[in-house]
Amino acid sequence: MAVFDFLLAYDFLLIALLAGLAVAAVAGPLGSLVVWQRMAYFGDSLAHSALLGIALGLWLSIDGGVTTTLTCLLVALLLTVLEDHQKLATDTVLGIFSHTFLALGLLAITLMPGGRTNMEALLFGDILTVTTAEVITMWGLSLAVLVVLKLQWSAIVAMTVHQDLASVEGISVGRHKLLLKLMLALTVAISMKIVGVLLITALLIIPAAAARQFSKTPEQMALGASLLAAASVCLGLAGSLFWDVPVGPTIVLSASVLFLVVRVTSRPYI
Amino acid sequence: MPGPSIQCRQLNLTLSGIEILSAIDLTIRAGEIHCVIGPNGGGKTSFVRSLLGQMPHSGDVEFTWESTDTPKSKTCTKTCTKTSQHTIGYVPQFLDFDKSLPISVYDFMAMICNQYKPAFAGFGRGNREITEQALERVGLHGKSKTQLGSLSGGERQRMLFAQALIPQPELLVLDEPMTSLDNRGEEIFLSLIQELQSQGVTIIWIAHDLQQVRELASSVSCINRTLVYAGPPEPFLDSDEAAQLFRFTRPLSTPPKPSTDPDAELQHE
Repeated sequence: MAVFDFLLAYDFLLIALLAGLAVAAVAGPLGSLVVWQRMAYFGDSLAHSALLGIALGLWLSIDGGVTTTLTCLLVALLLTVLEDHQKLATDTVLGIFSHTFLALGLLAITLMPGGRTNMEALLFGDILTVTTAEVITMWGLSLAVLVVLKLQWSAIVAMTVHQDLASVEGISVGRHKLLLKLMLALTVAISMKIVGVLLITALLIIPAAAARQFSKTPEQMALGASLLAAASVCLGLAGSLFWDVPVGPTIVLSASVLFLVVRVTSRPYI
Repeated sequence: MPGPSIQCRQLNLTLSGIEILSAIDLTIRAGEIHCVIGPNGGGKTSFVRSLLGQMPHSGDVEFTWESTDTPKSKTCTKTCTKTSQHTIGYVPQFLDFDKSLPISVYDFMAMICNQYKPAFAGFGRGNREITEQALERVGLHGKSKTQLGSLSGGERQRMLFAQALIPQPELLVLDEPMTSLDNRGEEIFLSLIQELQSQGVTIIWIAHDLQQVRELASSVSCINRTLVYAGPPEPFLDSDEAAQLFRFTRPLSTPPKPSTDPDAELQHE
């Protein structure tokens, strides 16, 4: 009986771990780009809009993963268009949308007929309920984003360093910016189940900021961030089992602790 | 390596309903140092970027390359910079650099100059010798391993110049390169500009130091929404009109007003 219990536990843990690692792999490079391009608020807006996606899924009675992904992609497009045609500063525009999406999503889910939804799971993640099918989808999307990133990496980094120089070199800056935002939307959509809408940006930014401390090249930072994110997922899962606390916040807090450790132990960068 | 001549006819630029440039007709001859001057916010940077096909302008811009393999003139409407084997070097006004990006001078150069050869492990794929040579020409010898974040503003500006030298440009575009330069950097710039001109490179230089314009320019255009003047530098610089236009810009300590300056907005987008 004890062995059976253990296997059962092991099974869902393995799936949870695989799901977390799928997100960690892609969170490293994309988180680095979010840090370099100062897109944290943009990421937040996308994350909050994921809640709308869930509501939409409940309303239409179709899979929440599909509606979340589509909603994030659409919102990324919408925000890109709006940013270009605004008199307001970008972070004001994002601030308006970010919190409107959050409020709208919360209300929509609360008003949804047909039983109560576990709001906490949506806000802070519920990695232990991830299904095998979801893990496969996550890895599929994660690998797809990584492949596109690899192909476009130098163009995107060049654009990060200097837009004008990049465009003189023949890089279409507008198209790459959009591409980056769509990849971010996909990442947010697959991270949703792991850390929840309120903590997604943390999982992107904190490992990247930690990796910055010891990196000499953009690639080192991207890879380092992925490894640190993976470590945070492992630590978070273990910690949550050990202390019987929610997984999402534990993962994020693990990332913060790792950041502190790295920050204290490495020499300050110039 | 002979540079191109550039001809633009009826060039107009309107951005979000505001007319930035209107009806500019200008010819820049091959191999000359052409200085673009004008008051702040007059549209100098927008004009040059329109020439390079980076602005949604209307009107014709025609590059005539005298060099080897493409004898016919090439009309370029929108994106013209990388359409052929012709090389355009571009030195932007400044590098608005975020220190959160870890990158060495060498990797930066390799990335900007060689970025069509993707490699998995990183950017270490440029030609080290050529890069070192370019850095040496701008007085940054031995700095290739330095992190970009630890260069001074002047050094960063010189690195931007070095980047434009790879490969040897036929057209060199300088956008107020002297703004953040130290004295030594300025000397290096001026001698390099002369050296490149002697090799036949066409140089378009957005300048604000009228003394330097007087000394180096073969021709000048003054842009203030429209083309105020085009021709040799002396008669214009000595005219009352120029004195009127530049009366406020001579002491360079006064910063441009950001809210009314379309150029500035473009750079911070």
